[in-house]
Amino acid sequence: MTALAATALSMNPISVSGLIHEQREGDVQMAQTVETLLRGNIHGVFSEPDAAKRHKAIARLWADDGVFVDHNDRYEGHARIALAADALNKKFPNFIFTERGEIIAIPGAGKLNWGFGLAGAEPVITGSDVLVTKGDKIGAIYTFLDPPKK
Amino acid sequence: MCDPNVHFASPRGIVDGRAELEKMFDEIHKKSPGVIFQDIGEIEAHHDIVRVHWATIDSGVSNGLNGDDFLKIKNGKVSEVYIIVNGWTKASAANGQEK
Repeated sequence: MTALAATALSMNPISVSGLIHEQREGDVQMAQTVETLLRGNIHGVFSEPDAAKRHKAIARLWADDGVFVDHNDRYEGHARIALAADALNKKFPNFIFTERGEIIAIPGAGKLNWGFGLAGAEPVITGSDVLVTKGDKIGAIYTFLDPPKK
Repeated sequence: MCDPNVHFASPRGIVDGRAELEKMFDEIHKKSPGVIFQDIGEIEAHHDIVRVHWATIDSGVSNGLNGDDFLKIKNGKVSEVYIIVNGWTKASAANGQEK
């Protein structure tokens, strides 16, 4: 996998940095969509204590065949994603997700770093969500937990 | 290693298909032969997805650019790649490399 990463990643940092600041037509709107969806998912779905509101947010934000993958399982479709969010809320009823740093958007995708814990306290765990859009909805979110700090 | 229909998204835009991807990498290697990407820390994988944290090294020296790669694997091949550039470390930005 290391060799794969090195090959897949061999890009010119000069041109990459140039493109960070370059705005193309549709980029701003796309980035806003990605940000709205990433934020809506951690706040409106996975931090929402009210099950009915949580399920409405899933219907509003996620594509019908959206796929959520975390370290526990792969969840496809609104009903399965609701199961994942319901289970997390039941297990940690007072925990919420908070954003850490800026959301970074690329064409059709984006990343949000988050913390998870009691409101106002240091997060108990941190991780990243990578979102892939499908139209103006969430096509997929892949979640990674950060390794424990040594 | 990559699926023939690999989907590759980065700040440069979207490239679909292995042939197009090879063309792009050829151009990049020609433009910046001394630049390599070094993976940092643990590569994390679960189910069919992988996260790799990286930094760029220019002619053997870190130039401070870093990011994360997210890969999706399908039938043993890379089917999707999302390249997230986190930015420059503060030290390199202070050295005037952020241009």
